[in-house]
Amino acid sequence: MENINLGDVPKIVNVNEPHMALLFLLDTSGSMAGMPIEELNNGINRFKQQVCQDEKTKAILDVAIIEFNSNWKVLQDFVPVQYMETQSLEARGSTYMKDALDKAIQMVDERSRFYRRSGTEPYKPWIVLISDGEPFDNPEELESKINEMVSKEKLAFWSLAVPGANNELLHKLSGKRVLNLEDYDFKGFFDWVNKSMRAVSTSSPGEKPKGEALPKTVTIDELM
Amino acid sequence: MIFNYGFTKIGFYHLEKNIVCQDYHLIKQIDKRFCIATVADGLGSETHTDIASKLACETVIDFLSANITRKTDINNYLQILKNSFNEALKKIEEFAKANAIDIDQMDTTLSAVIFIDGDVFFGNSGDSGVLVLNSDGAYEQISEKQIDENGLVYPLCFGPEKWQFGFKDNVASVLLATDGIFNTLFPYLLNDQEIKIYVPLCEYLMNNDSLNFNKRNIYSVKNKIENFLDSIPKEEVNDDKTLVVLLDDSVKVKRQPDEYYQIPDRDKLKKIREEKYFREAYPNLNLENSDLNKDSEEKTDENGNKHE
Repeated sequence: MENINLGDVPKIVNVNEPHMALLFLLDTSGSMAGMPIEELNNGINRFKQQVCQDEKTKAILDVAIIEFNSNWKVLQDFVPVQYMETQSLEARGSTYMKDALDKAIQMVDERSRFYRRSGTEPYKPWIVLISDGEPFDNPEELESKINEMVSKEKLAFWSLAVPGANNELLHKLSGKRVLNLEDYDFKGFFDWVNKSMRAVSTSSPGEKPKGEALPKTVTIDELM
Repeated sequence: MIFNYGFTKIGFYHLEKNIVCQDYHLIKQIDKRFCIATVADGLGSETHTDIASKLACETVIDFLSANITRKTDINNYLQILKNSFNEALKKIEEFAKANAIDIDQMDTTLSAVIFIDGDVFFGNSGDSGVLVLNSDGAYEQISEKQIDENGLVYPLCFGPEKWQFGFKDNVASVLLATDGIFNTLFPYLLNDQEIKIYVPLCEYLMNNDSLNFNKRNIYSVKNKIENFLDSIPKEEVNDDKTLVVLLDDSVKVKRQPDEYYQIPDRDKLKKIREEKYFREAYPNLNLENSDLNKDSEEKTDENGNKHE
């Protein structure tokens, strides 16, 4: 190691190393069978490839995946996006969302705390819920918990309504952040998520990054 | 004698978004070895915090100037400092009411020091900070960040329960900074090291062996520091930057062992840090097969030493 020469201007050593948590909460109930689940698989697997083309986004992004149908399962705990496993989702069973949603909230909250304990500043985490159905349980019981986190800038919660979804419920969970998917164009949706992550990676934690334009097949659902 | 400098610079983020600078600072030199100073950082998400930070600094300086002289019992200094914080909060509340501004849009941090004959009395609210150079040559952070486990700041409005006050003697120089600059003194790469303070930067900013303050070169020293602040890249500090240093050249500073002053080996620390972080952050992934090891077949232990 070298000794300092008094009068030399010291370089700023990396002050921070930000990270971001992105969690996909996926409805894999029976009604998603056929084209919807195929396109969802294609979309999410393509997402990984696209994100990894940008070094900055790749350096900051951790991704986790939870599926829910009659039960729920963590398919992928948080890993750097380049280590995301290829998904082969299968549609089966009915739609029980609440416990999966609760788990998703716990995971992103704990992830943010972990980043801070490690001395790194986290970007606001995202949960992206993708659903086409009417759940049999009551995920709206988590509405106030989600709203509190969102209002304190601790979470961004997006819902993608696949045809057949209960948009009213999704608005309770996501507020204005409910998007309608047309033509099962998951590819277009995941392209938008990729661009949004890229915008985050060029901002500083705490900043509001520039919003990205939605593709034509994804529209904002107006809250009635 | 105490020499001083202070700068507040608008951050890149605020410049780009056309937002005003929300930091403020004030210094008042009372006599050759008696100086008071404050820094404050308005909370970024709120609309009138530039007013709040300015009001907080001005109120504290005015209150301390009016209530502390050389004749004041030194045992009362901390109480007077506490009273100045109360006064600052009261002034902000009065301003908000008089101007029909939502008080929740006027949150600010606040740090203040009284530096007299080598003694420091300090007060802190929020995530700005106070650092001293002791006469034994060691740097020491004497304030604690007032933040919760989610990184949310407790600003001045949280009141006396969250404010911190204290005293330190045998101090050669004292630095106050808002978080943008203060965090550069504690880079994350040093988190797991014995010396967590970036000593070379502290030396540059607040040791007279580096600054060489004297009565003839005050402006050139200030220019040098200002140029340094202006040269900090956006990637390292995006926020508003406020830095105040009070330096008493009457206090002689001993020298620590040479290792204390060494420039951190960034590459080595980065590697150690990355491997540790990878193991903790991704316990289900195999470090051996990760990108961290792709370019080298050698293994590295936790001290950065390579083995076959």
